[in-house]
Amino acid sequence: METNLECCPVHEDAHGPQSSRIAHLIQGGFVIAAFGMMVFLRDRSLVRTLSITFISIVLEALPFMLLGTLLGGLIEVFVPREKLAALMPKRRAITVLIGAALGAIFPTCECAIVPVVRSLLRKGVPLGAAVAYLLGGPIVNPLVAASTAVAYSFNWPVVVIRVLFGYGIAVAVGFWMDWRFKDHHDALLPAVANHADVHCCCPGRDHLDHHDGRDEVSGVAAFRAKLASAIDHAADEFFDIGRFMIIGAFLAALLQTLVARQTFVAAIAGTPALAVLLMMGLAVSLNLCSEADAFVAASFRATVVPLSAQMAFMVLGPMLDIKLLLMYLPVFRRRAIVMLAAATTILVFVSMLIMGVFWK
Amino acid sequence: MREWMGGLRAWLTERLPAIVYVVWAFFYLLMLSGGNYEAFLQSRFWVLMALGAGITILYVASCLARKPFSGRGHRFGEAGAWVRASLLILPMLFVWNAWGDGLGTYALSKRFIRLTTMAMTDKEKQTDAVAPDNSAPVEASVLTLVRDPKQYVGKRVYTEGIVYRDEKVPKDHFVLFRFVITCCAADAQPVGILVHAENVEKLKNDTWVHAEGRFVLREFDGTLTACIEAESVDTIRVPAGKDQYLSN
Repeated sequence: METNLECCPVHEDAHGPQSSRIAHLIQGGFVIAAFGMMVFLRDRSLVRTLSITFISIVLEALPFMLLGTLLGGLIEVFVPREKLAALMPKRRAITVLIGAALGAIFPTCECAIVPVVRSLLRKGVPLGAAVAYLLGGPIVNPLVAASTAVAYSFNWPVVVIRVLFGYGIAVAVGFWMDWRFKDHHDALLPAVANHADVHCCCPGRDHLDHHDGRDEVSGVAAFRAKLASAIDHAADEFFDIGRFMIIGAFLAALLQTLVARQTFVAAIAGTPALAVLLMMGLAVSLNLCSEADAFVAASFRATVVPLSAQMAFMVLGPMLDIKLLLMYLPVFRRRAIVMLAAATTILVFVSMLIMGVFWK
Repeated sequence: MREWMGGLRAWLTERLPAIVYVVWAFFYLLMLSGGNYEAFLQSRFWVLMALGAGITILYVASCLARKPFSGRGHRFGEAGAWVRASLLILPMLFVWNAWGDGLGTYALSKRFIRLTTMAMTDKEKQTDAVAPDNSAPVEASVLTLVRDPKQYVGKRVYTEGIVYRDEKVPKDHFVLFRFVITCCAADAQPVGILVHAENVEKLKNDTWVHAEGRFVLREFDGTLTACIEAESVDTIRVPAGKDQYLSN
């Protein structure tokens, strides 16, 4: 049975057929290697610890991602592009400023935010605003602020600094991405950048012309059809991008299992710049949830790790980690991911060094 | 035969998304039943499990409501669909290995930073003057003893945890530790206290014990550390996965 799917960019393989074949080979190899590990090494302490850590990350992150895809599907079908455009401020700079603060009203964790941002970008939300929401949402967030307060024994300046730096860096990277990629097609995959201009003709889809939110049927029947279509889209979306979260979670669990935190502490002694850098590396490799990372950062308080390095861990982690980098693959072109990661890393590093000078 | 196999492959490929969602829906329901998820997550996260079960059931229904041979599974190409499905099912393989198990001394060796007590002023750390309290022992978790030591100094306490000893720990001592979860086992942080007792050299790492004795603060490795001067140390059965962690 052959089906022609080329008409619908939502379901295109993200980086072209050649690249997709290579990706399938790598991903297939990854599955076989993981299977081999389970069959031959399952009784080792290392593999048992890896299994528990991996399952924990997946169990916690997957419902958020499922929710994110569902929200993305609802946005896809129920939010017309024209209405969204009318709602947005005319000045792009203001959309970036608002985007970075949206997490304060809609607290979303980093796993749920990626599918939502993918849908928003398809609906024509400016790149800078979407990036600002992507980076700022998981930090500028009341739940994260509360967990940071508890972890740091209600040391409120720590909470305020974390939220302010999170917001400031999200805004700065949002502006920079907007400026660097004036044509958003250079930053986004065709499936994301072009979507608003096409009509879906996926086989088996009886649904409405949902991608631009226009009604062709009225009343309850139309609502039901749109709802079914939204869930349909969401199910496809998750089946498509869920694998990146699984691979990211596995790599994060592997690093958590192999790397001893004590070695970081030992390497850091007396070198603030190295401390910031190493704690940033730890944040990228541990892939902790933004509501939990403050507790891990706080565990370094009684050590030689300075507060600026703890803050670097708490600011960078929700913006950039292995799992997130892989989850960005179905949204951005690789060059844009590199730019986004580089800008975020440099800004966090420099701002934390400056913070370290003024507040020890 | 070849034709039949080809047909079966096409049929399966078509239904891969539905199969993936059925597996995950079943898994979330299994995790919810009897609180099995607590072996990996904080107890308050039952909501997440319910959310996961609800959405995956919704997706199963959506897959089943499609027309037959709608091309759902083939949408990503045959190889693409199988790779996606294998990756999404991969965690199930690891559940089989992790089931009923908890983090132990291997994880401790990677996550441990140092033994310490919290929330004490210098004055409170002067425990010499505290008169011993000979009343019946009170239950205290390792986390409580580390977080709020002043409440227990001089008192008789009992607690449970995992044994850890390395070359730094004196022969008549061991570290009794537990993992504390904030969200999930991935962020679990070890907390530990010292236990001083006779004849404990034979206790192996990863053994679960019940320790009972007087709680004191003692200088160890340059830090004032929570310690039990144990009257008894008994080996106990490893608790079920969900009872192995403490919560923040």
